[in-house]
Amino acid sequence: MCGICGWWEERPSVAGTGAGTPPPLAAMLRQMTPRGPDDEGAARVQPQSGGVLHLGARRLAIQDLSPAGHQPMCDLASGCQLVFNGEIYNFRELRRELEACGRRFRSQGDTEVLLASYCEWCESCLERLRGMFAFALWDPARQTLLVARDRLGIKPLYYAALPGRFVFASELRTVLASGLVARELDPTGLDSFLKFGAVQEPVTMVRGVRLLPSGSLLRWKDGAFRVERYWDLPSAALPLNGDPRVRAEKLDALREELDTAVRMRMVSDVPLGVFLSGGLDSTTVAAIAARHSARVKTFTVTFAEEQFAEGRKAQQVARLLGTEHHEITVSEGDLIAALPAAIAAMDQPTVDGINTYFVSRVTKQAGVTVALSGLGGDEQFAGYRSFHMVPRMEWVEERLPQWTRRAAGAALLPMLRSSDRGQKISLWLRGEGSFPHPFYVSRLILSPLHVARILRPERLLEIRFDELA
Amino acid sequence: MSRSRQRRLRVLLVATEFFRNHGGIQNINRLLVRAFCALGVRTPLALDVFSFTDGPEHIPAGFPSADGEGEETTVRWHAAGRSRAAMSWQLTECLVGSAPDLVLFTHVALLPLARLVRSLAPAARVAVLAHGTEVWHPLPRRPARELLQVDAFASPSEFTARKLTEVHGIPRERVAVLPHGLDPAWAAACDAAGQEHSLRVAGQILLSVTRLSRADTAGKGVDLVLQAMPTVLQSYPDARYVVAGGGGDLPRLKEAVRRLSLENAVQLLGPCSGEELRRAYSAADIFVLPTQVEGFGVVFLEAMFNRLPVVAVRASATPEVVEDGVAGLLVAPEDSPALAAALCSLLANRERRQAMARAGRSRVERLYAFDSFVARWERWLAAQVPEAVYVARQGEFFALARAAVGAA
Repeated sequence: MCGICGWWEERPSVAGTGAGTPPPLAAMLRQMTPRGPDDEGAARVQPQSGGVLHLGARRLAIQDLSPAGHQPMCDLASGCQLVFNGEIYNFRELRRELEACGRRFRSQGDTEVLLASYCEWCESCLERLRGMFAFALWDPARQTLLVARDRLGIKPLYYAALPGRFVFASELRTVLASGLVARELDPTGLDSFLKFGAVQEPVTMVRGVRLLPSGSLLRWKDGAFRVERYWDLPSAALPLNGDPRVRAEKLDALREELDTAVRMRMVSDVPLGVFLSGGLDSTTVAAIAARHSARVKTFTVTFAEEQFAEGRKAQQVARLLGTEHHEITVSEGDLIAALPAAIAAMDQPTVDGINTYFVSRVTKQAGVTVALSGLGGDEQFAGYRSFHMVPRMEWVEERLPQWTRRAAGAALLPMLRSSDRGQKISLWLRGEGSFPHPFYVSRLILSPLHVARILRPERLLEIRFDELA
Repeated sequence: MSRSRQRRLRVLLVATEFFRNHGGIQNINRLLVRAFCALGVRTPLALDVFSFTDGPEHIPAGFPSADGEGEETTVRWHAAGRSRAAMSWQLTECLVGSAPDLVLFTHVALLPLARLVRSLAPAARVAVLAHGTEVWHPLPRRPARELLQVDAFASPSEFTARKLTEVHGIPRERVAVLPHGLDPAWAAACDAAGQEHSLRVAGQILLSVTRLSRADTAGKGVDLVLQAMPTVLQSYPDARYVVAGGGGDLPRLKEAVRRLSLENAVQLLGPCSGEELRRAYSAADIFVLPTQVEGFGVVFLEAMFNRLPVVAVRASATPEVVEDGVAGLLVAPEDSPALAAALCSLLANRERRQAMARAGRSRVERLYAFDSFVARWERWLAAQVPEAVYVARQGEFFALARAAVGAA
């Protein structure tokens, strides 16, 4: 992890005129210390249209541990300034290509490669990047600040645009730490969290602060900005059909993609770990990693309570792959004791982060800074049960007239009422939940009717669903 | 299919009449249906409209017209054709079948039906739209008790809102003031009509537009204008007074004109069609109506929209609609010399008339255009049943996404 931040202020009296770091930027950098304990840097530029733009970065040294990787990084020829959080996995190939174009490099890291690829290819460099990243780049020739986020949005980037002011940072808390944005709860974000257990981009829990959508770039110029999408998932999907030969071909292509993806992520200069549950996704990742490196460490969190224990399967996989295996047993007491620290480590609230916090903590204690996980596999490969439920629910919606569904929902209500899931299904059948699609029903934690009972009426009316569109 | 998924806000609009006769209340009822249909994706409605006196044959096909009906709102009409039994039965069916969130009665006379709502759909919020005189005076004991049980009132003016609290003891926080608006189709027709008119009257025209029923002509003040006319004619012999509107009181007014020997200066047009009315507005120079019985006064909006300075009295809701000294002149009630003086001062000053006309038109466009009327009612609906509105709005994001996909 690293952390980046930036701030443009139109009024120089607020922006700080002298040399030293102005207090809001200093506060943002201080807040990001846990993300990047190893190095800190700041730069100021003066856009021709007025005001002052500050860029700041804190670094966790993973690649290029030398001072040559210091940020903000400046390209001397063009004057471009870059702050960058993440990793570019194909930076070695890009570097070779750029060297062929006549570019010379002073460092061994990916930051300089990113900067050079922008200087060479402008915004179209985004199409060439494989990696997880969020960066901000000031281009003095175009007088434009380019802010971009990786295709799937692995690295976060929050921003707030106010009159005469633009603030961005890797974390929502960093934006707030600046003191430049009012601390006001956004009811749309709150509603999203209560319903899905996580806040859906681009809305956040704080009014006026937005999350740059994944695969998008933001162009800031003369105090105004535009957000644009440069990549989306459906355009990258591999369509399947019934032909077994096509199927075999696509599976080969997928195997190759996975292999490349894992191999690319093993470019760091530090030892690598894998979060291993013993399930299909994490086992696949661990197996590919073990094929490419002899020093893979695997980590498993098991629970003291027998019914949740996943440890045996993970042990078997680790033995088979020959990895250095670590098992962490967590009891209910451990979990409760660690809750305050886990919540403190969390930026926007999510109901899904506690387990990742645990396994990350233990992995770090074992001396490993970078780890892979199978997270997202269930989403990509339809692993969740809901993916099997949704087509059936769609079938019901299409074939059964509304009155039969409503009658069924009402008739089954006494049976369904006992469970949370049952209540949601009954709501869906009766058409009371206003669920735009059955997928909603399958993913909801609290139904809209529950949320309506939790939030104050005037808050309910402030919720803007159109902001999610 | 997408329609069936969405939980709409379920609203019952129970009205006396929409189409069978012409009148202010019918106009507002129709405007309300148009407004509810215009709410669209942000507040999608499943609207059931009940009319006590209209029969199915009175409801024009396709009303609300295509421009008014939002894609997300559905409308069902129930026309009882003056049958109390039919009205009760249709309402019962609807209350049991669709469990409404809100039942809005557009007239206090319909309140006996509120008992039906409370027993069959106890979760529904009951609201009443007040108009004017019908709620300015104490009611018999039973309707008065019924009125106190209503959850929310919409009143077109502060004046009527005050009467509701003062006369009937209704807590002020239950009453919202929602000024009326102009029918968008009517307004567009006015602007399209342009200058041409058929009134073969020379000289400057003073115009009144009002219904002349025996019950309320006294309150409307046409007689007061007739009394002021001789004075006006002394200074402005070419001034003409035109009254548009029919009703049972017309013969008596004709007699009064004869008694005052004003046959040459006064023209009683009788009942007018919409087109004739628009021509009258377009031909007139000053709108005059010293009415004391306006719950709101849509007629003043029409006059101001047609760029006429208004002369009226400081009574009922008129001062809320017509800004004294800005869009017109307001005088004390029952004071014909003052009325004559006000008319003369405007007849004398063309520039002042034009300035008032501009101010009136801009006020109507600013405050009483259809869009602001829709926005006011949307805010009110949301405040009545916030939970139901919130649930109904869940589909907004997907509707916008669908629209975006459709457009692409």
